[in-house]
Amino acid sequence: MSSGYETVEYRGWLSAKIPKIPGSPEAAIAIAEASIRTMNKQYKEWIHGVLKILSGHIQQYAKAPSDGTNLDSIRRIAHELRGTTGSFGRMRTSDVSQSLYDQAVRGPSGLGAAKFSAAIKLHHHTLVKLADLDGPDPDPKLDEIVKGLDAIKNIRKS
Amino acid sequence: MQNYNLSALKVLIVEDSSFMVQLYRIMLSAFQIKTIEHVGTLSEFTQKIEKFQPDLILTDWEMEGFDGEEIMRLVRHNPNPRITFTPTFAISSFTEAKKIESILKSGVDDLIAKPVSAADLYNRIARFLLSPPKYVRGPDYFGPERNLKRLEREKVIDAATMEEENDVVWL
Repeated sequence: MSSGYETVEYRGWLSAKIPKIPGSPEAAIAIAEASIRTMNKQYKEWIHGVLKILSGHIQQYAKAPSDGTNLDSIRRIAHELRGTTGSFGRMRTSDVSQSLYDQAVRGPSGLGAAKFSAAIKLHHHTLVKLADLDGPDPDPKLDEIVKGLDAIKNIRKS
Repeated sequence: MQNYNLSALKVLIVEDSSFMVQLYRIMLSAFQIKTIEHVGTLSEFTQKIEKFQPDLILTDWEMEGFDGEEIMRLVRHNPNPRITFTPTFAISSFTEAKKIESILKSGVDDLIAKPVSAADLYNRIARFLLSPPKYVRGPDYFGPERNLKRLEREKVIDAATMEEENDVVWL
């Protein structure tokens, strides 16, 4: 054990309460995953609501970039989107949200205010397009989304 | 994966996103867990923890107006040992090493990286039941010993390491 630490004696109660049973949990896991897939309508309502709020903060940020509260709100929303959309199987949406989060953490430094503002608007635009899709993976032929994703990747490189 | 009868497990979800709460409820209900409660603010948590006395807490880490560290202080420093030792899993999309380090230092029993799947959640619960942690107390830490070992071993933990450890029973 690490020096300076003492072991705390405690007997947990769970082993007596939660018995092992034969079989596999795979069926229960499959039921959960199937149920989640049926929530498409709720997902769309939720994400469009969140993206509307995000849009408001992006607009406010563009008007007053020195006010850090809007950038912090953008970061928080991106953080929520990243985890929630991924848990719902929307991995590309999660990736774009991750990219938006990274942008919000780094701020305009190195990009300049105008370019940074355009970058976060591009993220929002791409997130809206992804949210409009029905399935978890966007059709690769949707040029607008592909262009958006490529542009996002190149924001800090250019 | 070991199968368990989880029907008697009482779970408290700490989460300010109602959509994530729905997802967790679907997963936990599919695992046959009957008693699931939810709180979305720190004051709700303070009231609920004493009355409900959950067997497992699932907590998001960054929420509106409060965070997981505050939750962990209320759990690990609670005078009631039934609450102090409540198994608590942090669920977070943070990948920054500093953030992960602070989550582990808070004394959580496990850290699940978002996006979280039903298989991942079941696996973590089963892993905890199969190998419950040994707790240690020191001047600046109280919680599972394996968190300290992990922090000492890695010093800097990155997201890739965290993902690799998902299927490993911690020592």
